[in-house]
Amino acid sequence: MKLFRRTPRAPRTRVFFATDLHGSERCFRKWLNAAAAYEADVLILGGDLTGKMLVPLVADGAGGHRGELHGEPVHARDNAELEELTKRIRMMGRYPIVLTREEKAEMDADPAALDARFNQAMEDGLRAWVELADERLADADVAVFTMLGNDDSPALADVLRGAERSTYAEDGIVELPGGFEMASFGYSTPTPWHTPRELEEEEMATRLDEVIGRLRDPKHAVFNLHCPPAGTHLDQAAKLDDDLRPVVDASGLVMTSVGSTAVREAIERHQPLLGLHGHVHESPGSERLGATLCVNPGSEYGDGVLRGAIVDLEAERGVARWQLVQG
Amino acid sequence: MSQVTTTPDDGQPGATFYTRQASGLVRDISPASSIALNVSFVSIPLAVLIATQAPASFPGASPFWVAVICAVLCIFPVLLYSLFTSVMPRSGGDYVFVSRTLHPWAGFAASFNITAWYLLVIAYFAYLLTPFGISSAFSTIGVAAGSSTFNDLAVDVNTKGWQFAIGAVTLIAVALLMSLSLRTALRIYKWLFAFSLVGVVLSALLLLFNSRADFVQAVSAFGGSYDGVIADARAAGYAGSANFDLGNTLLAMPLAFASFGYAIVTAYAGGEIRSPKAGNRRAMILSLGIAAVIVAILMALASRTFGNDFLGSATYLGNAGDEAYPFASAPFFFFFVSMLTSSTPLIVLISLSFIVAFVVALPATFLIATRNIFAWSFDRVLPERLSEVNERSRSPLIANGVVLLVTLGYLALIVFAGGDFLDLLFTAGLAELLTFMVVAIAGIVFPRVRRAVYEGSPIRRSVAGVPLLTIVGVCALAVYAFFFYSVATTDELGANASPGIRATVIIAAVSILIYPVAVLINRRRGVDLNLAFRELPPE
Repeated sequence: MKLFRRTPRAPRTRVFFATDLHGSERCFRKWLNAAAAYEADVLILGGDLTGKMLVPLVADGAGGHRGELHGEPVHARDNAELEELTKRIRMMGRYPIVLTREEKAEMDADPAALDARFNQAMEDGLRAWVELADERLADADVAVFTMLGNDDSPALADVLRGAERSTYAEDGIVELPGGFEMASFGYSTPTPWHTPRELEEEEMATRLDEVIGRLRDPKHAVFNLHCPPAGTHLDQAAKLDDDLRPVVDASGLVMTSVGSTAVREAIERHQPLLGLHGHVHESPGSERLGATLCVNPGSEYGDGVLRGAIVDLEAERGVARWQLVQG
Repeated sequence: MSQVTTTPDDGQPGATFYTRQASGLVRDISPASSIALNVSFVSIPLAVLIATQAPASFPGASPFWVAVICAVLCIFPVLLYSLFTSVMPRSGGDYVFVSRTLHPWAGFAASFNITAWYLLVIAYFAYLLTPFGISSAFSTIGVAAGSSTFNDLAVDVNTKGWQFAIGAVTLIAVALLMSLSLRTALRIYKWLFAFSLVGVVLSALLLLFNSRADFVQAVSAFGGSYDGVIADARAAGYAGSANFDLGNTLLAMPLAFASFGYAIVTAYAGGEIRSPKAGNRRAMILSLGIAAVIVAILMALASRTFGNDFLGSATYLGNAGDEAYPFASAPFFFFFVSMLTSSTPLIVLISLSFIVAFVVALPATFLIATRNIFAWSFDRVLPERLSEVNERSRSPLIANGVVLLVTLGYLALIVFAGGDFLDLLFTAGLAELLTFMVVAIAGIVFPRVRRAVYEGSPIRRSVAGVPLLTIVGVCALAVYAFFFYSVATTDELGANASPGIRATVIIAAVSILIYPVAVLINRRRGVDLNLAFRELPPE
């Protein structure tokens, strides 16, 4: 009968990690529901939370608003249709902005005004998420951690710090249920887009040393580092030309490594249990660097698909189980 | 920080959307690159099979019209893939299309099935190298240079032992190169691909500047007789026909589908700002058109210079192993082209470029297979070890090793147990069509099953209330079903012979069985595979 006897499972801490939601309302709401769906003890949001695009909806003078989506004109004839349209745009991870023709003209002419609108939209969007999470997860038995990524303005950290139900992970070492420590760092190495939170490799290494130095035992910790380790399956992105077009040759898209050598060296040196990474949307996967399992769930925020990683941590075995999901 | 990005078409002043400086905002692949990439994946060696095999198996079939009609039909499959990619640009291909739309079981089975047959095609190309590449080259060089050594080599090398040895060495070399340095492998691949095109251009020129009379003379120089070959084939049972036969032309179209059906590769690459003007879709259709024009020109020139009746007759005799077949080399397009010149350097160039054309088909298909293995492994359907990367070489040695072992096994089967080589090619085509049909069904139901994703996509258009993707899916399914029926019921293609049917059923059964087994194994470990593609509530 031994054949049919199940071995009792050791207590586990189930982590659900998703990243690079880029303003997608649909993905964020799925992330909030992930704790129940996946029976997670810990929810981690790994950075790059804010959207990349503002969509102006301009008053047409007849009580309606006009704009454009996917190159096609869209028209909301009344407030009900406008609400429907703005909801649709938010679901895609873009920020709708309702304007008069005069306001629109001012934005087109004044980059500072456009910046201000963009910053406001990102802050409002993130604040709304924090409030929604506080409300939805109020009674949930789950530890929640958030972090900014390289694409997020540093000023937005205060919005996340103001949350009641979640902890801003980048402020220090946090402890997950089960006693596992987690070190978090949301910066990336330089990108062609010169995003708000980028560091050269040397600076990255120094800052990572500081963060990791606060851990009691890096070998039994989780490294929540937005930028993936260089030269792995987690950091392969399309090589771009000067015009930011993907380079293509007869073998297909030319891919190149865009991760961080500092991150890689830190992982190889300290050998934590788990590396949680994002940043490179098109490179979902896992790879072991020595004893460390590194995962990048990738991101399909634009399609409303929540890519994530479910990882079970156990005291004895470290990473006991893991899988990538596309919820 | 922010920037005005586009100018509207509807007369409103200013931008229609604004972007900020954020990573990942790449532009679409340029139309020129998209066209070049798709055209490069239309296999010219397979395409030119039409010239020799169509008239042989289907007397009266016009290679030119086979290419043209098939290309028109293939517009729908190409559109299906391009539309799917507009909906899910980062999904990475049909495995995810089907898994998200129907079920991960269906997605895996479809993906595993087509990958298993891709591996057979890799082995098949490695096998073809000897009879249709090297032997053909030796034979032509032998006659042109008056060298009996080369003529003898052409015969000697075309034995089963050499076919396996040369194929195996080629497969091992490709696997080694891709394991040691993928970047170097792809760089070499690029140059080999360019070189292979040299042979195509030279062939077109030779066909253009040589008449039927020149070819009749060339056949004599190679020890045969143009009219004698036709007469011998008739005597051996070849029906033959000098007249155009529409029915047989339609039956021969699967020959062209083996090339044109795969002009879909850029469907797997997309940027974050999807082209509002659908430029990539147009580029994919255009590339299909360009490939069709290239192949159709070659076919028209081949028919004019060689004559379809001769091509059919020579191929019939050659494939049957008839003693009346007068040439040392197997009957193939580039062999007949090489007969048109007595310039040894030119023959060597054409022959080498054709040998290379077989070799360049290997790395890209090899890469597709290893990438699929990685995707299954990441999703835990196959063991995690299959996606391990060797720390020293930074290469997926285990996945590459699996691909190598499977292809070597296939090669042994093809060489030592295989029948007519076309049987295997079309058995593979038949089995791959099973996967394509599943993808088309996924396309038909996608707008209903994943309504929110479809409604948020740039292709949320309807015609008479029916979503565009559904309409294209129905048309693509009809095209795939036509080819499936055609391949399955046309005895001349050989896919309906019992070995082919057995292989198709076995691989399909294995494809279907692996997923539930993986579910059970993972469940015992505490991993629920059914979660992998289950959509979370977005409320």
